[in-house]
Amino acid sequence: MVQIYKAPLKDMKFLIRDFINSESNKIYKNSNIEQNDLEMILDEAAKLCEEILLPINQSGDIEGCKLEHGIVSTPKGFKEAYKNFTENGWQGVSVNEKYGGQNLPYFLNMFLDEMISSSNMSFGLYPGLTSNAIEAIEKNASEDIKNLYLPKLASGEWSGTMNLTEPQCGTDLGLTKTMATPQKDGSYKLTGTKIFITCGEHDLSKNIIHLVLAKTPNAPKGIKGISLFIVPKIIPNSDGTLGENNSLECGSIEKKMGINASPTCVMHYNEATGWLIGDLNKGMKAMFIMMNGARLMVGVQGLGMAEIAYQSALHYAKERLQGRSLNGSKSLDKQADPILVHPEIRKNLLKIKTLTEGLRGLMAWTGLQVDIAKIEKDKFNKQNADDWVSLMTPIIKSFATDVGCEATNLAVQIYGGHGYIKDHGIEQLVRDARIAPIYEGTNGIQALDLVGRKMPMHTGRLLKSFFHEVKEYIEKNSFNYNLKDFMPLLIKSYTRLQQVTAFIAAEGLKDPDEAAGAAVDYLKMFALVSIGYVWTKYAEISFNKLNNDPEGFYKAKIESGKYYMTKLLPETGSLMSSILSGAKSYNKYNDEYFDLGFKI
Amino acid sequence: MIKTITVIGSGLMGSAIAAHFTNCGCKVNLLDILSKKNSNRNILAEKSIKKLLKIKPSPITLKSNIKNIIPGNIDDDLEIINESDWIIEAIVENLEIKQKLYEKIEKIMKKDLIISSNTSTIPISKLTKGRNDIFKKNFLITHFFNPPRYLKLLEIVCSEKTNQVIKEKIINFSDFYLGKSIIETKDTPGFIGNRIGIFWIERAAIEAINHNLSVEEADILIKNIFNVPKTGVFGLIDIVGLDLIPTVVKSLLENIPKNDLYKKLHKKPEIFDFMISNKFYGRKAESGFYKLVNKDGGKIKYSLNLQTKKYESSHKALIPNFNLIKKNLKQFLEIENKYSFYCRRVLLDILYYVLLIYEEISSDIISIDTAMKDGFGWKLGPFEIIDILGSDWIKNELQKEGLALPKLLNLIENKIFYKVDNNEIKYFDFIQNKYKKIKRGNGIILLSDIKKVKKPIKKISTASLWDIDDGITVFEIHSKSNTLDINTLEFLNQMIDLVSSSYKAMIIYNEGEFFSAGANLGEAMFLGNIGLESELDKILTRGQEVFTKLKYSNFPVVAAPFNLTLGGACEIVLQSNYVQAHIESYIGLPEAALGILPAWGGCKEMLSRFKNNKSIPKGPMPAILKAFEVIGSAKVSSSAHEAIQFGFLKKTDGITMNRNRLLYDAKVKALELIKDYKQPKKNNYNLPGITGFSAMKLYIDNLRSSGQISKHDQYVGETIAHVLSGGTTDINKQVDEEYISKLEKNAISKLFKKNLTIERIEHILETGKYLRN
Ligand SMILES: Cc1cc2nc3c(=O)[nH]c(=O)nc-3n(C[C@H](O)[C@H](O)[C@H](O)COP(=O)(O)OP(=O)(O)OC[C@H]3O[C@@H](n4cnc5c(N)ncnc54)[C@H](O)[C@@H]3O)c2cc1C
Repeated sequence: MVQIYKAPLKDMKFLIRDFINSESNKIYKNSNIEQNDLEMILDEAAKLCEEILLPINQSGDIEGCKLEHGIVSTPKGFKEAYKNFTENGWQGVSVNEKYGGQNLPYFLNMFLDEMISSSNMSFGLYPGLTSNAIEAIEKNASEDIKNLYLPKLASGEWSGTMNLTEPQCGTDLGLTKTMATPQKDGSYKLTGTKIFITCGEHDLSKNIIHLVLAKTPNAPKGIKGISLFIVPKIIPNSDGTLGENNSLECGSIEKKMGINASPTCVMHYNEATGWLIGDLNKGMKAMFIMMNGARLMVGVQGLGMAEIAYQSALHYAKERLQGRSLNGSKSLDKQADPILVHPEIRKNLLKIKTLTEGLRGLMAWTGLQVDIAKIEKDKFNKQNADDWVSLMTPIIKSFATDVGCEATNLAVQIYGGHGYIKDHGIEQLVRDARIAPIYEGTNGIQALDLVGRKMPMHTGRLLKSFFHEVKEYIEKNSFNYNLKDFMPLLIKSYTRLQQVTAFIAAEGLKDPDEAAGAAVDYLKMFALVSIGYVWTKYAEISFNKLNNDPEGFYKAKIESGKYYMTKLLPETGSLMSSILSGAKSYNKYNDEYFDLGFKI
Repeated sequence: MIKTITVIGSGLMGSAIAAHFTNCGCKVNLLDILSKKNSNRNILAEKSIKKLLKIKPSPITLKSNIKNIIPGNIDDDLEIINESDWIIEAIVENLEIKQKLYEKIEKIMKKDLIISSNTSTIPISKLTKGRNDIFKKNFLITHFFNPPRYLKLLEIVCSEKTNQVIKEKIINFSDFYLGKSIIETKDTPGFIGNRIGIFWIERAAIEAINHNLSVEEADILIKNIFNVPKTGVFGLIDIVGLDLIPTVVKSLLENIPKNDLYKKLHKKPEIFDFMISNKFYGRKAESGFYKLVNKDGGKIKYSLNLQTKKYESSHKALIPNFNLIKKNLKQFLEIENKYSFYCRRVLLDILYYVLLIYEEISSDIISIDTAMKDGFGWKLGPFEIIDILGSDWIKNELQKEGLALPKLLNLIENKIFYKVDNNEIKYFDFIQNKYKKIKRGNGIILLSDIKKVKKPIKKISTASLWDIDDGITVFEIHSKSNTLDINTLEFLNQMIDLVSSSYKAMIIYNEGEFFSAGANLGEAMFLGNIGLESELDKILTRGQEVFTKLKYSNFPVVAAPFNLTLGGACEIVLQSNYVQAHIESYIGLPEAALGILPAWGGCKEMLSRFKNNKSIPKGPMPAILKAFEVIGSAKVSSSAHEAIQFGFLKKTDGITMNRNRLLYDAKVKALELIKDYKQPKKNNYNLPGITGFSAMKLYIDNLRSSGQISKHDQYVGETIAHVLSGGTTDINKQVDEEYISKLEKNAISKLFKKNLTIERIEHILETGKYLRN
């Protein structure tokens, strides 16, 4: 038995056709693309993921990457898969046409990434980091650098990495030590050690382009003195052909919990040649420009992991026979009923399913806002789209990756002991999913970003993009009889979120520790309400489709929605009580008390 | 009583002093030397008077004050001094020239003519040398600080001969009518203010150069270390005028004792010479350490690079750990970087200098602290700063540098200069070596004093109610920018009930930087953004209810505004029963500029004000149009006098010239009002409705088509016109106050939803500036 995965194409197409269609037309109109094309692309991607990437997921985990003489070799099948992937143009899907990309909508890219993450999260990191590098270069670098690097990156001939972390500096990038010394010819020489660098060295692409955060000799202290540099493994000639090797190397690769088919490298830079990207000392700004995208994509990984966990667990729950339904046996011809009959199993499956489907809609909507912000002419509409994306980014990154962990764990639970042993590949999912809440800014940091930056920004203007949209929706639909099982619950949770938001804003002004203390709970509450809004909209749409619903797809949506609204959304109540009780019980807890239980 | 004065010398100081005397209703003769080249013999004085209208901030509280300055020249008109109650000499800082003038005066003066000199550095003994006894008896130094309307300090120096009655008369007049905070100083060079102030400026400038700081960096540090509003050291020099400094410095150096620290530390930076030779004198020369250059319709700020002597575009200084300055100054000073080194150097030099010379220049520490606060805009005086840093810190630092400890540091008990003891505020008297009670003059009550010895009746984080005896209470707002949020309104509501049952009157007053910036728009915006319109609605309704309750309560409410009094705060003023305003009250309803309108009763009150104003023609429209003009153009007064013209204050409201006397004056008024107090009657209105609206709309449309206002201005203007004309009423119907309140509320709720309004409010909250969109 192996991991089970079929791309959720129907669900994705539902989102494209029925959920985001109200606004996505604007995007199609602006490019020469049609909804049909998108669906065909999804079908193709599904094939790639199911037939090429999924089969090397488990083997890749077992084999892992190897470092010999500074060269990292990837597990069996990865080279071929990467070749297939790049030759079919998947790397450049959302890259600007100018650089050889296809400039497809961002929301589509999110669907593709989800499939890739589900079928092989490790594999996805190679092109994923290249995409991050492309975005950082495109938005910050000079024309010369863009013209030299972007076409090669967009084709996947070269790949990219992000070098932020150092031994002493993880979350706090102000502690960066890597030095960049300016040279007469305008280049820099970089010296220092970076750790945990995903795909820092491997054998899939011809060249690896490192984007490295470093300080120049006289830079201001801390976060304000950091600059971003482009440092290629092999220095390209101006015509794009490969020149000399740069003086950098991968010193070792980490042994780690999961994503074993992607190398996590220690990178040594020894007077390596690099060039400044963006302005001097404005490295963080440059990083932030691409951070929204990178963070959303990590959220997508969480979603992808939840999806494969769901599909595998569901498959198993239907096959595994244990015990009898308490309501009378379901499979009298067999010795036992499938475990799907047991309430706890059903509840857990539905938990994963409704969170996954809800998140997928929230992400598609957010991806669409990225696209809208790019083309929108009206200042306030553009601002609103931008605001939505900035607001939702930490929420999606954090909540979806937590869901990824919870879902994979629940899947193991549904498999029982067979989940814990390696054969089924289910424990791998837990291990792979576990990194997503950590990298690209830990989830704790995401929550602080939400409460400390996004919430007060422009006196709450970012919040407006969400609160006003939902408010208008509520005002329009509060008397919609179809939604009688939805609206009251949505309104209740929305009102709670308003109250808690006002509370945290007021408390935060008095004592930032109070706001920070509530951050993680608040983010979760926000995510639950957002997804509640998505489910209510699904239900609204589905009720109008019931007369032509041969497979019961829409009926199922409504029923899933009811589960979400009654079983998961009410958690907003307990989160609210917790938040309103303040953060003193831990913020003011005496440091000495922590070790009283064992200190002699 | 002093009614007419003569100022001789119409330079920067002379004319500004003349101007300030007109602010309290005096007639002023302004004499300068005779112009021989010009057929108009008074041309010099006349030019100076004209210039007064251009100076910013304005030296006069009303443009028309200027008419009370009569130009003249010394040759033709000196006789006029005998028609004056007081003459002030403000001619060039040159002993010989001054002495010659005095000689002339001495010859013709009447016996009781009071004469004073505005010298900033020359000792009185030298000035009166050779004069007769009558002259000496009538002579004193009155040293004003520039700009005299805004800087409160007045230094008075008397000789042994000066008549005490005359001295008292000048002190009283300057205190009550000129609003001065007066210190008597010894007859030493530069007196107190300039002796320390010039030293401070020079030290701060030289050390900035030594520490390789940019002008912006030095300015933001000095500004925050000494808490001077607006400018730091270089900005201050630009205002004063760099060309004036060398004369003062020279005169100081010539006259101070031989072993004075200043002599040792004095240096004239090369860049000063460079700037003076290039006429970069500062603001008046339009280039100094900073300059503004017009470009593309806007202004771009440049600053002088102290090292290269070239102008570069000015950048906001970024100081690491900047917030520590406010949070923990001592910790900031201990950081090992050039910024902290600089601050430590300057602070230490100033404090050390003061500790060396205090006895020479003053007979008490209070005068020294007052001089620096009221003459140079420091928030705390040197001794107060020492109290904050701790005398141990100073001792330690001085020891590190191998300097002998000034004896005063060893004398003070508990290591502080000011303390509260037995409910009394005391200062250390270095003459008798003991702590003594601080005596405020008659007619001065300071809330800051009360706060040191009393607890509030009730307090929340943004406001407090204080008992100031005799049944009178003070409602103090102390939120950020003293804005009003929903909690403060609720609290005010409760306090009205409390005063109503247990006290006799309420004064609305505080001692913050300004009275209040109005409603807490940040709170309103945030609630709007998260869709809590119901809360927003509550703020509006509560504001209207509470202010109405304030007006019609069974006790008198006296508002005592000063400085900025905007929007919601102006509406408090409008709905108080009486106002005692400081002359420097900048009252206004700037809502329209933010895309909203006054909705806590501002429209309602302005309508009834102008309706009852006798100088406005009868009939429904004139009053409405006047209200529309004031509200629609977002007027803010530049003085209490102008506030009367705009209708924010009534002619019957009181004006206090001296900020320190504001609370006392308000209390006197409250005590007067509580004798058989009757609450006002509610207003009724006959408003023209749509016909009135059309008239205003025509006017707005004209402004729009001539490009004077934006589309959103037009929309806001029409919304205001709708409210002021009474909505859908007509002239035959009578409507009440509640009716107009409702119109106000509906109108503002509508405006709050507009993106362009939101953008304006966001902009002012983030930048402090108005956005035209
Ligand atoms: C498999 C893997 C791949 C990675 N790939 C890359 C890569 O490609 N490029 C790269 O640059 N880095 C990469 N990283 C590094 C990763 O981004 C960091 O591990 C992450 O940023 C956290 O830093 P840290 O591990 O030093 O934890 P720390 O920063 O030490 O944090 C420890 C804990 O403290 C919390 N915390 C820290 N600071 C605060 C604060 N101010 N307020 C509240 N809580 C706080 C954190 O949330 C966390 O829970 C990778 C890491 C792993 C494990």
